[in-house]
Amino acid sequence: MTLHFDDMLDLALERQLDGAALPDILRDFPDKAEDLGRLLPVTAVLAALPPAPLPAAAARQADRQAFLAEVEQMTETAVSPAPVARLKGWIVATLPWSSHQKTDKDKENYLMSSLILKAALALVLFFGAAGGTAAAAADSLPGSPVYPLKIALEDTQLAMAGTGETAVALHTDLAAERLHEMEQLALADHVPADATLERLQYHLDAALNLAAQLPEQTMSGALLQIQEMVQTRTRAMDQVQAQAPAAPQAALTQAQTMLQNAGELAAAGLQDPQTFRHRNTINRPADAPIQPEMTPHPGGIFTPTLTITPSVTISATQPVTTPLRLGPCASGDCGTPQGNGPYGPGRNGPQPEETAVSPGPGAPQGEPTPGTPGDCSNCGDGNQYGPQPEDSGNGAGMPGGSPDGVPVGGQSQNGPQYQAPDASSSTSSHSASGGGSGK
Amino acid sequence: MTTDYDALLQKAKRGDRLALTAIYDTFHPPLYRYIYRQVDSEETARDLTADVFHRLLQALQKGTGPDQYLQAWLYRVAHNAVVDFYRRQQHRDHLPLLEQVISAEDDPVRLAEDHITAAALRQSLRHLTPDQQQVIALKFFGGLNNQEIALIVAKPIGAVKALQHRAIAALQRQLVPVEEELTV
Repeated sequence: MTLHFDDMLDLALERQLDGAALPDILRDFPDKAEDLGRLLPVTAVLAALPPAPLPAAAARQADRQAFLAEVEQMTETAVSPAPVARLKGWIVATLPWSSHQKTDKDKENYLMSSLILKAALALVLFFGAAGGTAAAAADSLPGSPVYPLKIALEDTQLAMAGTGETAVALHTDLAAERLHEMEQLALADHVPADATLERLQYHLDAALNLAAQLPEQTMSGALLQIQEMVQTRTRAMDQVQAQAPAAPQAALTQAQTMLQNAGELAAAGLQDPQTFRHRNTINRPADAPIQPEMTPHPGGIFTPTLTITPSVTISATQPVTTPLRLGPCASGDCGTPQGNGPYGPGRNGPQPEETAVSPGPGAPQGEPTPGTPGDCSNCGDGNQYGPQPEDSGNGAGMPGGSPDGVPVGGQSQNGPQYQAPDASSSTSSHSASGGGSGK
Repeated sequence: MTTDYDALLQKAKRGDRLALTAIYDTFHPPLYRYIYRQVDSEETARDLTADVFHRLLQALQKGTGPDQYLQAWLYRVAHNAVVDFYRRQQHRDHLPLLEQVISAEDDPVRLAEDHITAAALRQSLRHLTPDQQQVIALKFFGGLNNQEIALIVAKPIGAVKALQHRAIAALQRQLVPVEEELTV
C-alpha cells in the first residue's frame, strides 16, 4: 500500500518526537527523503523547545484559590432561592391556560391537570424517600451500608445499557468511579478491598471488549474515551499516591497497573483496529494471536500456517485481566475437544499436549456438556481462544455474574471466565484452580 | 465520548466542587503551557488560562457548556483566548517582554537562544492560517496526539495530517530565510 505524503510525514514526525535521529528517519522513507529532509528540521526546532515553565508555586496557588473562590460563588448562586417562584414562572411561560382568558374547556383542562399534578406530587413524595437513599448511595464508598445499593444500581444501568457505545461509556465511567473510590479510601488511610480492584478490572475489560465489537466508525471514539479516562485517572492516582499513607500503596499500584494495561490496549486498538478487534472480541484473551490463515492443501485439506503457542500464566493472587469464556470439561479427563468457534473449529479427536491450543481443521462436534470442577490442565475445548457454542455450560457474558462473584467455567491456560465481582465480596475470585461449574 | 473527563464534567455540571477542582488540577498545567508557548508572557498566560476556567464555569452555570469532550472544549476555548489576545495586541505597539524568571542554575545563553527561537516560531506561526496554527500549537505546544487534535479542531484525522503538512511546509518557507539571516 502506498502511503500518502501526509501520512508519511506524520509517521516521520512521530519518530522524530520519539527521539529518532533525522538520518535514521530519512533512511526509512527513501522515496521522499528529500522532501522530508526539508521539512523535518523545522519540526526539530519545534520539538526541541523545552517545556514551558510553570509559574512559581505561590502564583499557581493564588490562581487556584481564585478559581475555587469563583466555584464557591457559582455553587452558592446555582441554588435557587425561590424554587416555587421559578416553577410558577415556568408554568406561566409554558402552559397556555395560565396566561389567557379561561374558557370552559380551559377550566376543565385545568381541573384535570390539577388532579394529575396532585397524583404526580404524591408519587414524587412516595418515591422521593427511595430516591434520597439512592442519591446517598451514589456517593458512598466501599464499606458503607448503602454501597451495595450503589453497585446494584450500577448493575441495573449496565443491564439496560446493552452492548453498544453506551455500555462502553458506562463501563468506562464505572471504572473511573472505582478508581475515585480507591483514591478516597487511600487518602483516608483505608486499604481498598480486593472486590473493588476486581470490579475495576471487570469494567476495564468489559469496556475494551465491548469497544472491539463496535462498528469501525465508533470504535475509535470509544477507545479514545477509554484512553482519555486512563490518562486522567493516572494523573489523579499519581497525586493520590504521593499523598496517601503506606498501607494502601500496594492496592493503588495494582490499580495503576490495570489502568496502564487498559491504556496500552486502547492505544494499540487505535493504532491497529483490526488486530485489536481480533484480540479483544469478547471472550478472546488479550494475547490471543490472530486466527491463522487457512491455506488450501493440494489434497483438499486445510492446513493452518501459523503455530500458536500461548504463554499466559495465572497467578492465584493476580487478577486476570481478560475475560474468557471457557470451554466445557465434563470431568478431569477432557482429552477430546469438541465444538466450534469463530476462530476455528476444534480438532476432531484427541490432541497432543503441545498442540492443545492450536485450532484444528475438524468439523464441529455436537453440543458441549456443562462441566464440573476437576483438574483440566490439558482440557481441550475445541478452540481455547474462541467462544464456545452458546450452551457452553458456563455463565458467559460480561455484565451480571454469579451471585458470589466467583468465576465460573472451565480451567484454561488463559484464565477463568471473569464474572462481575460482587461488591460485597472481598475475597479474590481469581482462583487458578478451574473447573466448569455449569449453569 | 463519555470518559472519565465526562464523568467529571457531569458532576461539575451539578455544581460538584470536587469535580470542578479535579478539572482545574488536571487541565490547568497543560493549558497554561499551551498558552504560554504562544504568548511568551507568564502574566498573560496566567490571565488567559484563568479566563479559560472562568468561561468554563460561566458555561456550566448557563447550561451552555460541553456535554462531552471536555478536553477538546477547553483547548478550543484556550485557542480562542490566544486569538483574541493577539487581536487586541494588534492595536498596541509594544511587544511582550521576556518575563521568564531566570534562576541561578539556568544558563542565560541557552535561555536567550530558546527565547529567540520561540519568538521566531511564534512570529512565523502568525502567518499560518488559523487552522494550521491551531494544529501546530496543539501538537508541539500542547503535546496532543492526532486523535485528540482531530476532536478539538472537529476535523477528521486525515484533514489534521494535511493541515499539519501544509503548516510545516509554510513554516519551512518562512523560517529558512530567518535562519539564514541569523547565520549571516
